[in-house]
Amino acid sequence: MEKLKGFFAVFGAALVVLTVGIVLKTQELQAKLPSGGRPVPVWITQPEQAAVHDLKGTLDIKAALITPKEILLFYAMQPRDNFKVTEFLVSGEEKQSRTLIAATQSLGDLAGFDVGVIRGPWTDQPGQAITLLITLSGDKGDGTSQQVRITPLRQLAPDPGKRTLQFLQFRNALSPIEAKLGFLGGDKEIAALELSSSEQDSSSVYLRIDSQANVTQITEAEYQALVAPIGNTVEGSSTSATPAPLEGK
Amino acid sequence: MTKRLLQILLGVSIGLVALQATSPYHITQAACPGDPWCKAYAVADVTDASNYTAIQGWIEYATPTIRDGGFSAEALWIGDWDQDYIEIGWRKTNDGKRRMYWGYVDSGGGWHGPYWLGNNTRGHAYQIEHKQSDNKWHVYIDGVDRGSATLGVSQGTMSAGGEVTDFVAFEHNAMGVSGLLNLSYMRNHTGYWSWNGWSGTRINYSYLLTRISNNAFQNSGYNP
Repeated sequence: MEKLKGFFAVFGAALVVLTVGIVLKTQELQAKLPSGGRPVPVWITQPEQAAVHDLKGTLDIKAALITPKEILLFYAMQPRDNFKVTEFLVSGEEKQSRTLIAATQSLGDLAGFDVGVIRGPWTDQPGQAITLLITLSGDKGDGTSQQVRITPLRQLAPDPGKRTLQFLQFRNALSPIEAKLGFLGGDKEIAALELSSSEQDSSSVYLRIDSQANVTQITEAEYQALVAPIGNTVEGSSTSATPAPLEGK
Repeated sequence: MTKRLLQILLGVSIGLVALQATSPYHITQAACPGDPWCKAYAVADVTDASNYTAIQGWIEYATPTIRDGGFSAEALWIGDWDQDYIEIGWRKTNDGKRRMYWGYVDSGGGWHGPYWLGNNTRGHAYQIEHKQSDNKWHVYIDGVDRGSATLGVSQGTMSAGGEVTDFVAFEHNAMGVSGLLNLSYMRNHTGYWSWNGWSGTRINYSYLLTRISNNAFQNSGYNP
C-alpha cells in the first residue's frame, strides 16, 4: 500500500508539472504569435542572362523548378544542333565553384523548337549563381569550338528547409515558347507544367514532375485532371474585385 | 515525510523532463533553429518590376484546421521583402476565430498589427493602394477604406497566397481551400490592370498552389 502511495505521489507530481508547464508554454507561444512575415524568395531569376542568340539560332531558358536537392531548367532551342549545354556550374561566394556535366533531357519539338530540361544539384549557399556553359556548333577557325555562358539564377536568401519548392518563369525571352505552371506542391507529384507556343495552331507539351524530380510527358487529359482545382473555386464566381483589363491591350 | 517529499521531488523532475521533451516551444526551436516564428507558405510573387503601387484580389473564405496553436491565413502583400511592406487578408487562429486583418512592417523591421477588421464568413475583395495625396498605403475591404500606414517606400513588388504558422514539424496546419481570384495591380499610381501571370511560385511541405488562370489560383494543403 505504501509503495502504491509512493507511486501515485511521483506520478501525480509529474502529471501536475507537465500539465501546468504545457498550458503556460502554449500561452506564452500564443502571446508571442508572429503577425507579419512576407516570405523572401530563395532563388531569383536573372532574365537578362538567360538566353543565347547568334546568327544560327537561339537557346532560351523558359522556367526553373527548384526542389530541395535539384535545379531543373526548362529550355527552348532552335535549331537543335546549334547548341550543346556541356556544363552546369554552381558558383558560390564562400565555397569553391563546382562544375558538373550538364544532364539534358529533350522533351520533344514545339513550334520548331526543341524543348527540354537541364538539371543539376545544389546546396544551400546564399549569393551563389547557376551558370550553364554552352558550346556552339562549328569551330572558331582554329579547330576549337566557341563557348558562351549564361547565368539564369541567383540564390537570394537561405533555404528555410521545410521542403521548399520554387517555380520561376523567365519573361522577355527570345523564343515564342512559354512555360505555364499548372500546380506546385503536393506529395506524389510536385508540379505540372505546360510548355506552349504563342504562335497560332501549335500544340503544347504537358509535363508531370514527381517527388523524385523525374520529368514525364503526359497527355492533355492527364494534365487537366492533375490541375483541376478542389471544390467550388471557380474563376468569376466572385461578386466584387471586378476583373481588370490586361495592360497593353 | 522526507520520503514523501523525495517522491514528490522525483515526480516534479520527471514532469520537467517530460515537459522539455514534449512542449510546443521545444519542438518549435528544434524544427526551426533561429526562428521561433516559423511559417510555411504557398504564394505567388510578381517581381518582374518593383514599381507596383497597389494590389487587389478576391479571396475566398475557408475554415482550415489549426493544429499547432498558431494560425492559417490568406493574404496580399506589397512593398519590400524584409521591411517596408504591408499586408491584408483573413486569418483563422487557434481560438477558432476567423477574422479579416491588416498589418505592416516599418522601415526598422517592426511589425504593426494585426489590426482586426471583423469576422470573416464569406469571400471579400481585399485591396492595398498607395495614395499620392497623403503618401500613405491604404487598405480596403470591399472598396471601403479600413486603415492606412506610412512606409519607407511608395512602390514595391507583390505577393499573394497562403501563410501558416509552422511550429510543429509533424503537425501541419491546413491551408484554405481558398481561391485568390481576379488579382490585379496598379503600377505608378495609374489604373488597375489584371495580373498576366506571375514570375515566381513558392510552397513549403505538401501545400499546394494550383493555377486557375493568369490572374487566379487556389491554395490548399493538409485539409480540412
